[in-house]
Amino acid sequence: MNCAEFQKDLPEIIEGGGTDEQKKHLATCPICADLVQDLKYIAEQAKLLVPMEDPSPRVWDGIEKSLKQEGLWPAHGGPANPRPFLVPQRSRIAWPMMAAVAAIVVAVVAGYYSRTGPAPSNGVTNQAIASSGTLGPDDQQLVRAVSTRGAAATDSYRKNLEDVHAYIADAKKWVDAHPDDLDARDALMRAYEQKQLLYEMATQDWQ
Amino acid sequence: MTQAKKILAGGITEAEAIDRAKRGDATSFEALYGLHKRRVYSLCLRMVGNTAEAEDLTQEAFLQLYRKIATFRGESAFSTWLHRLAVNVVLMHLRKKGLNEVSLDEQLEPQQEDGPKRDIGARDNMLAGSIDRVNLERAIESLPPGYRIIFVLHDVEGYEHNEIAEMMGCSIGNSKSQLHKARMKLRDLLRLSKATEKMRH
Repeated sequence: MNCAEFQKDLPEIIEGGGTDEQKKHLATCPICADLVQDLKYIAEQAKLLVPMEDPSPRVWDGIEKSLKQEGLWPAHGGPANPRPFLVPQRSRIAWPMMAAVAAIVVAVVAGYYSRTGPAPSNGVTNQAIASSGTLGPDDQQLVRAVSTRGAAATDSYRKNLEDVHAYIADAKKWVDAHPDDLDARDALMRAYEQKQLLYEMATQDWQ
Repeated sequence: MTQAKKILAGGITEAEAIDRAKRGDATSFEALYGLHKRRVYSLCLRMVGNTAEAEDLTQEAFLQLYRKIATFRGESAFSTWLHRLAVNVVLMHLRKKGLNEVSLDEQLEPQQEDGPKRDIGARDNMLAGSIDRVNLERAIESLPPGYRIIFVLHDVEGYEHNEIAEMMGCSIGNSKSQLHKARMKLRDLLRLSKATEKMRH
């Protein structure tokens, strides 16, 4: 075996040790021995590299600012409320359950309206709903109902509904791209659960 | 130290902070940021080789963490999950920048590809014992982007080739080949640096 033949298989030799013939060449060729030793040394030294620097404080400032702009960051620390992402540790739930949860969401809304009828509309509600481009008719009815609690609550629910819709859309895309991925299905399931939670939170006060 | 035993500011464990952050607790999220910011930032910095970009990507990684933390199920260590998230943020950014144009087709200098390395009379320029952290960091920074990413993911961060192949959308063989080329390029850079240093003294 010559150097060219040996070096052609270098990645495998470094990773797996090489064949007997390659080991023999390594033992007798100082050029290839140096090369192998250097490459192993580089890999070993890289493993010893530790994180040394902190990011500048403006990174955290930027995070806080962005979350505030999105309405996800509370004014004085503590919990942001209401927030759609409330689901605790979940168990793996079968795919057909997604449809069931989606049906529950519809049932909760239907049940609520059959008891109370649509909420009266006012200026705040119309304005809030007008900006709810991503919300469906059921969501808009819910926002209209919540509007009796004031503009802040209306805005908050509208924002949370929009977030959860975005979450559902992302999860659906993930499922479409990877139909056999259990994580993707779980994510979609969770997204529907969050929407259900939002509806439950909104309707609890009237029940 | 295990995840459950890490004590953060305020006397809570990391696991408690994760649970609270899942419920939207801002203080706990800030504590998690404090615990992981250095490693996430270092990862971003090594992958992109640029401070301003690394800061932007660190910010984006933690914003995604805030939005996605409810999906963390504890099947892997939180730090593993977070770093994978950060790697994906960086890769997404690099794809947008057109990384594909330079990454997997990156070529070494022709003389390095065409034949075996001869290194006549070069035994006194072996690297063993001569690399310090600063030199190595500098050499990694000057690698071409495609090589740098694979090298950082495999040799620094400890990802396996199958994981890298999945993240980068390439074959395992390609990942191995790129890693080898990266190490070869680093060897050249470090030997050059060592020789230059020698001439100075």
